[in-house]
Amino acid sequence: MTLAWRYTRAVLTNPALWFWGVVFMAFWFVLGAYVFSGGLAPGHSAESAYTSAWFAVITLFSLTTLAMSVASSITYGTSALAFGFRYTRLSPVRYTSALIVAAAAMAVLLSLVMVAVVSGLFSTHFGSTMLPANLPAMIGVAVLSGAFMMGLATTLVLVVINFLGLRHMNFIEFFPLILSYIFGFTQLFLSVPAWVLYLSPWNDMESLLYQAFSGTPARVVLGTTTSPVLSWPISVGALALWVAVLVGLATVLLGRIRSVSIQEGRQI
Amino acid sequence: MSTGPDSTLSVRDLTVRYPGSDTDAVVAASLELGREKIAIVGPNGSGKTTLLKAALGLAPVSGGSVHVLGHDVRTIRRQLGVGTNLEEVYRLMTVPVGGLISIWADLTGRSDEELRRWIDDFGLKGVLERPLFRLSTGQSKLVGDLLAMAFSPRLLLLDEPFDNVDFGRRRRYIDLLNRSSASVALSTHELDLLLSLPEWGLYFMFEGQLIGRFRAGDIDRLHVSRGHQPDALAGFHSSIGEVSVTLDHGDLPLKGVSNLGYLLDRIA
Repeated sequence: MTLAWRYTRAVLTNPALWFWGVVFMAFWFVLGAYVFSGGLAPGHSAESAYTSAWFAVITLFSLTTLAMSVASSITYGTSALAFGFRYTRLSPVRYTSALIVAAAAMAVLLSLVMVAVVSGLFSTHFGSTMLPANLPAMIGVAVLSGAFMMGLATTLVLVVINFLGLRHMNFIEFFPLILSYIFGFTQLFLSVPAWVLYLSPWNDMESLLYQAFSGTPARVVLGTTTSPVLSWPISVGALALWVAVLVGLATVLLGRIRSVSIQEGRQI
Repeated sequence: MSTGPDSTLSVRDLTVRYPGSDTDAVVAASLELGREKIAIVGPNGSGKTTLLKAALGLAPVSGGSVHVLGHDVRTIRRQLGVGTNLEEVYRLMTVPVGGLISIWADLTGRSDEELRRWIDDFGLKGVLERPLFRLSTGQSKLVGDLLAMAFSPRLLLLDEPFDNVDFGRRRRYIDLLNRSSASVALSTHELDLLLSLPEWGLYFMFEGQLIGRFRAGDIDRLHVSRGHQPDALAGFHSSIGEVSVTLDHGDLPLKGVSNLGYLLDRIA
C-alpha cells in the first residue's frame, strides 16, 4: 500500500475533518437557505445565483479546514521526515505528492457532499431544483483547490518548523482560514478591481466553484448581474500558478526540515 | 571531504548545541567506525543520544563534521543502509505496528519477511495491531530495535536498546547484534552490558566529551583517576578538572561501578 493511499485513507476517515469540514459547514447552509434568503428577489436565476454563491464561499471555508488539519500533522513527524529523506527512498517530492493526493481526494469528496447538502436544502426551500450545472468542472476545481490549500498549509507549517519555532504554530494555523473569510466575503459584498480577484487564489477558487455550480460566469461581485464578468481561464491559470509556486516552496522546505520536539509547541 | 571505503561513520570534532541552550551537548567529539561494533557508555545526559542523533541528521551540527557511509550528513539523501531504534523516527503517521512495518518496507524497497519473523520469535505478535504509542515502554523499545535491524542496514545506530527490555529478550537481541554484519554504534549507561560484548570497541562519554577508544573486554581492567597520569590510555577535562583513564591501576576501578552518574563525584 503506497504512502499516498495511506494518507488518503487517514484523511478520509478523520472524524474531526468530517465535523468541521461538513457538519459545521452544513450549519451555514441552513442559515443561507432559511435565514438569510428572506430579501431575495423571486425567480429561478436569482435563486440559482444566490445558491451558487453560498456553495462557493462555504466550500472554500470547508477546504481550508481540511488543509490545516492535515498539514499540522507534519509537526508530529519532523524526525521521521528528516531521517526518511536521508536514509530511505522517501523524497520531498514523493511526500508532497502523497499529501496532495490525499488533500485532492478529500477536497473532491467534500465538494460532492457540499453539493448534496446545498442542493437538498436550497431546492427544498426555493421549491425548485438546484443542481450543479457542470459537475466535472466542479470536481476539477476541487482537485486544484485541494492542491492549493495543501500547498499553502504545508508551506506555512514548514516555515514555522524550520524558522520560527513550534510556539508560533497557533498563530499560523488560523491564517489560511482568516484569509478565506476575508477574501471569500469580499467577493460577496464588495466591488474590488478584477485584477485583485485574479491575484487572490481564494477568489479564483470561489469564482470557479461559483461558475461550475451556476453554469454562468462569475462576476466581480458574486450573484449580481451588473458587475464585470470574470474570465475563468485566467482564474484557472492564476490558481494553477499559485499551486505550482506553493507546492514547489513546500517541497524545498521539506527537504530542509528540522527535527523538532512536539513539546516545543506547548503554550503553557 | 571524503572518507575511506570501509568507513560507515566518521565524526570529526563534532559540536552540537541546541537552540536556546548556553552549553554544548556534544563537545568536539571524534570517532571513526569501519566494519565493526562499538558501545558508547556514559551517564544520563552525557550526550550519547545527541551524538547518535547528529549522525542521523536529527540534531543541529554547530561545529565539525559527520559523514555517514561516506556522505556528509547535512547533504546526504536517499542513502539506504542506516537503521536506528529511535522511536521518533517511526512517527511518520499514526498506524499500527503492522502498517508501520509495511511502510518502512516500502520506503526501503526491501522485504519485511525477516522482521515479521523476528516479531514472532520475540513474542511480540500481539503488537502488530497497535500503534507504537500504545505499547509498553519495553515493547516499544524492542519494536524499534527490530525495525533498526531490519531491511539490511550497513550501519546501526542504537540508543539504549535494552532499556526496559527483559533479560531473555536482551540475550536474544545481543545474539542478533553479534551475528549481524552491520557496523554498530550502541549507546548505553549500563556497564554490565559490556561483559556480553567483549570484542566490541568502547568509548565513554562524559559531559559531552567522547573518550576512547578502548576494548569492551577490558572493562574489568580500566580505572579512572583525577589528574594527569603519564601512562593514561586517554584523558579529558571535566567539571572536576583533568581525568585520566588507565589500565590495571588508578583511583577507582570501573569494575563494579553501578552508577556512572556519580563516577566523577567519587574521584573528586
